[in-house]
Amino acid sequence: MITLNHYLILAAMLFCIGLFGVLTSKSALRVVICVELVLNAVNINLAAFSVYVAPREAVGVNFVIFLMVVAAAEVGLALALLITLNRTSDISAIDRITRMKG
Amino acid sequence: MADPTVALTFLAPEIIVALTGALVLVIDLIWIRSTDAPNTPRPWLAYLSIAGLGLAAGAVIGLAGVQTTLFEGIVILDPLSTFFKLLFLAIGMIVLLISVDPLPGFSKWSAEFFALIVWCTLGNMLLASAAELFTIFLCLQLTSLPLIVLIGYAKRDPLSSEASLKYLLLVLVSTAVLLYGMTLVYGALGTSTISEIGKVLAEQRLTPVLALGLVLLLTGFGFKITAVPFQYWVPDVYEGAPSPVTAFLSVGSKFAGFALALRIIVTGLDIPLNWHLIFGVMAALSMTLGNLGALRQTNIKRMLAYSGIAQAGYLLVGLAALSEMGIASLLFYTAAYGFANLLAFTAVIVFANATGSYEISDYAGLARRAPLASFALTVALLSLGGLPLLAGFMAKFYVFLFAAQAGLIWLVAVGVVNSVIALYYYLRVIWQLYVPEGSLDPISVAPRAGLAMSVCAVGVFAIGVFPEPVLRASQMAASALFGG
Repeated sequence: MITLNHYLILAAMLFCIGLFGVLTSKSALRVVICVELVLNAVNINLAAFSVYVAPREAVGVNFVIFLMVVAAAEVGLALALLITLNRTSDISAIDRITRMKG
Repeated sequence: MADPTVALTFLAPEIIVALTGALVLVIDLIWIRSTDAPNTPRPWLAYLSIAGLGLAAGAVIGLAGVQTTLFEGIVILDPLSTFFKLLFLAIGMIVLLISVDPLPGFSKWSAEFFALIVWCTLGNMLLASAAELFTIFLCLQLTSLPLIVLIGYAKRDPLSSEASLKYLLLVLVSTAVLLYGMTLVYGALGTSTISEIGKVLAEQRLTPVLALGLVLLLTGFGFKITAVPFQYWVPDVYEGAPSPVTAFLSVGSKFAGFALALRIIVTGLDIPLNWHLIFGVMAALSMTLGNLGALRQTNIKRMLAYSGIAQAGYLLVGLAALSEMGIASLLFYTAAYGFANLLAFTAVIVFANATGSYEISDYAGLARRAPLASFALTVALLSLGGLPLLAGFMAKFYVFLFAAQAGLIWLVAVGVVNSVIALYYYLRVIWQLYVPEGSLDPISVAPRAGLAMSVCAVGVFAIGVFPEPVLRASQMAASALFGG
């Protein structure tokens, strides 16, 4: 029997893998991919909570659709920006983008 | 429950702003098709956008008395949302005005620039009204995604692209974490509207899942308001972004973070966590690290970035008081800080257009070349530093007064010491303007920049000398937040 906890644990694992990737990746592209993992964790959480906790309003499942659109927009923007950066300076490794230091 | 068409009339300001952005793009497209010189500057597009925002401001004022919730609690209209909407519209108009002149190389793409600023303002306005977790997220994205494009607008400038990439990665990560927090809160409480969350929280004990969700939510808005420990991106992004965008980022996006934070936090006050201490420590660290960072900067944009971190600290002092008057003083501070910071950036843009430099050492003797712009920068910096008769003094006075009333004497002491440190680096710039000898060629100030500076300067003086109207508006907004 699959319960709410199974979904939540799966989502938490995806979240941690994604976050680990974000914090350790050196390539901006990989960071973007890892953020997608985190967003998928969010989607699983939303759908599971929506079905198990508040099935009548179904806010969660509706929002999953919105979230996919937003995530697609974010990725589109990220790729456009990476291409621009690549044309102007031939780099996509974030540890080499150090013209300004915080 | 109101009829949906009636509900839409309450959203008239937002609809006007959205249409303004679309109209600017369409008109520009038609104009480019019908002309043989698509690269000529088109300041009238900016004027059109400003007119649209002005119309929306009129609509906001027309709806000022309305206090209601729409669409089953997703959108809320109250004096707080009115206050922030007017502030965001004013900021949007001033930023549009000062972005006409710095765009000579991008004349062909100016319509998109103006439209993105308009839509970003739309996101900010909606954020002031949003009262449901997932709506809040969508509004946040509506403000963040245009900003990413705006920050990287100077495509050929590697600094601009780099700043844009840094901001993009930050937005991606912070919103993903924020969303995860939102789903946890939604799952733990079974509802996503703020009003329902408040009701459920009052009866429920704090579970670990809920606590984790709230902490993740806090990080989400910490990035937006540039408070320590979420501040490390600020100097780089502020330096690399085109200056009008930096000006927009330093006020609009920061206040949007506060608008969002206020709604969430007031509902969560019943939770047995020491919010005074959490926000007090964040405030003290932001003020101290911001000011210490600003001391060693040689670039004015980076200096203003660190000063912005410190100012976020002063704003958080108002939040840490967690009283109605504390929140009112925070709102008052946003208005005072907004005018002063936009004034400073306008003057910086005027100087940069003439000298091409953002280094403070290149400001030597500028007072003789551009007396009015130098005077404007002086007023702005003194107001940020908190000198009497200017807006910043009253703002700091109220914030510290109500924090002291809430018993946060240690925080007030930290704040006062920090104000003195801050004066040092503000005065250093002013000294550079007036004392050393430099070249004597006069700098001409474009009438648009002149107008923007006059509006902001009048705002700074007016709030400093006659604080009552703004103070009353902030008190109304704060009491709606607590009483509603």
